[in-house]
Amino acid sequence: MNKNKKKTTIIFVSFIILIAIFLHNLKIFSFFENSVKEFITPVTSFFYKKNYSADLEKLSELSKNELLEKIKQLEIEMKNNEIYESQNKILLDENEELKNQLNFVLDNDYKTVGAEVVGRSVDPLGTTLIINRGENDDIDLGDPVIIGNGILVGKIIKINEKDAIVRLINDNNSKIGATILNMDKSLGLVEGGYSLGVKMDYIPQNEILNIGDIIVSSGLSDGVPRGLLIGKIEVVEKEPHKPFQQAILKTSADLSYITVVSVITKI
Amino acid sequence: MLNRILKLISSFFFILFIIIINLIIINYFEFPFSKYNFIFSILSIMMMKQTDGKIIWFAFFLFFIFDLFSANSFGIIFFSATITTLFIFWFFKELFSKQTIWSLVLMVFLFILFYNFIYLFILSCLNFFAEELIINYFTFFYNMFFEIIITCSFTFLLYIFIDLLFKKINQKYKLN
Repeated sequence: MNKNKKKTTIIFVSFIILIAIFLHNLKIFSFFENSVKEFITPVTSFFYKKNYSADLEKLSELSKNELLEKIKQLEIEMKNNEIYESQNKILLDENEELKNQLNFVLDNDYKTVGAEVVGRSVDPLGTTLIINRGENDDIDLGDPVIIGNGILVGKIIKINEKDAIVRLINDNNSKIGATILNMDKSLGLVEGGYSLGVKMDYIPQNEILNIGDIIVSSGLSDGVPRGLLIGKIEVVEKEPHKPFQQAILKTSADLSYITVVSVITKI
Repeated sequence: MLNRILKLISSFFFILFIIIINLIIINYFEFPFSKYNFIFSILSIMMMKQTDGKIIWFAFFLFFIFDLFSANSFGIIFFSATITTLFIFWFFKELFSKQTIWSLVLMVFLFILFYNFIYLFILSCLNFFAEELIINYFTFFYNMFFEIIITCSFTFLLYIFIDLLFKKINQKYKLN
């Protein structure tokens, strides 16, 4: 094939692709696309869940010693939680008092939409999930995604009619304003992209951080309400010549296996 | 005419089958096995067996549907993968006179390499003009490395399996 013919072919194919992208954005193919997705999604969803249950089976195959070790760890965590609970009670009272002083109106008008995770997206980069709720369920870009009673796992980054894509907090491009529940109530930015871990950056050097301190959303990120649990501090990285210190977190949710989530659609 | 329609329908279902298998690999298997690119594997084998340009149209529709499952803006995977198929098709047609299993492995290697670089280039361009996406180059190349290793190895095995299967079927027909 001569060079001119090749050039023409590349231009022609590129042109056809661009037309297809344009028509896709005009939603001309949406019926076809939705039908194809509806055909494919149940299969992928089945295998995504199968992977999850396979991991649970692995857990049930743990040896006696490993189980005893885990029980010990849980007992320690339970004791710590009792301490946290009592501290939390004191903080709640203080908080109530401060709110009354500031005439602060607590806006708890959350509207959540439950969704099922149907698989992972296909991009070479990033840790993202596909959920089975979309535009038709009032989900919007930037809506926070939680599990349980309020453990933040990510944010919506793309919406289609019947599904949406969630960027997990350990994704390279995830950035969420957060507060540490320490004496200083330190503010910072929780960022992903450090292999499986999550890091909190831009914490002022002079503030005291302790391992085990709980981190919640600060409410300063657009669309993310204050108080959603993110994780706790595992390692503190403090270098004297830098203006800020960093903390490596252990996320409260196991981000590798999420099957059901809730999307906060209205704050 | 009817034959043509049947061929089109079967091609469409074959496209769906390939996508489903690839999505199952992504969703069911753990890293690095989840990095096996079944689509590139099959397309490369198809390019070896079928030398006309229809494969480009097949790839066009395949990647159009596949891109529906992407987190980035629609078109990045679709464009980069279809253009890569076109390049690999020419490359294979003009440079390889012998169709050996090693040329297939080389084709898969180039497929992944070209695709990832075109993808990265488009993402960087978009990043420069519009979105603010942080590209973690270490993760990108780390994933690409495993994608190449796993996909090349499995394509090698898949080709041997398909070859044996076809030989057995042909033998059976000859015997009958």
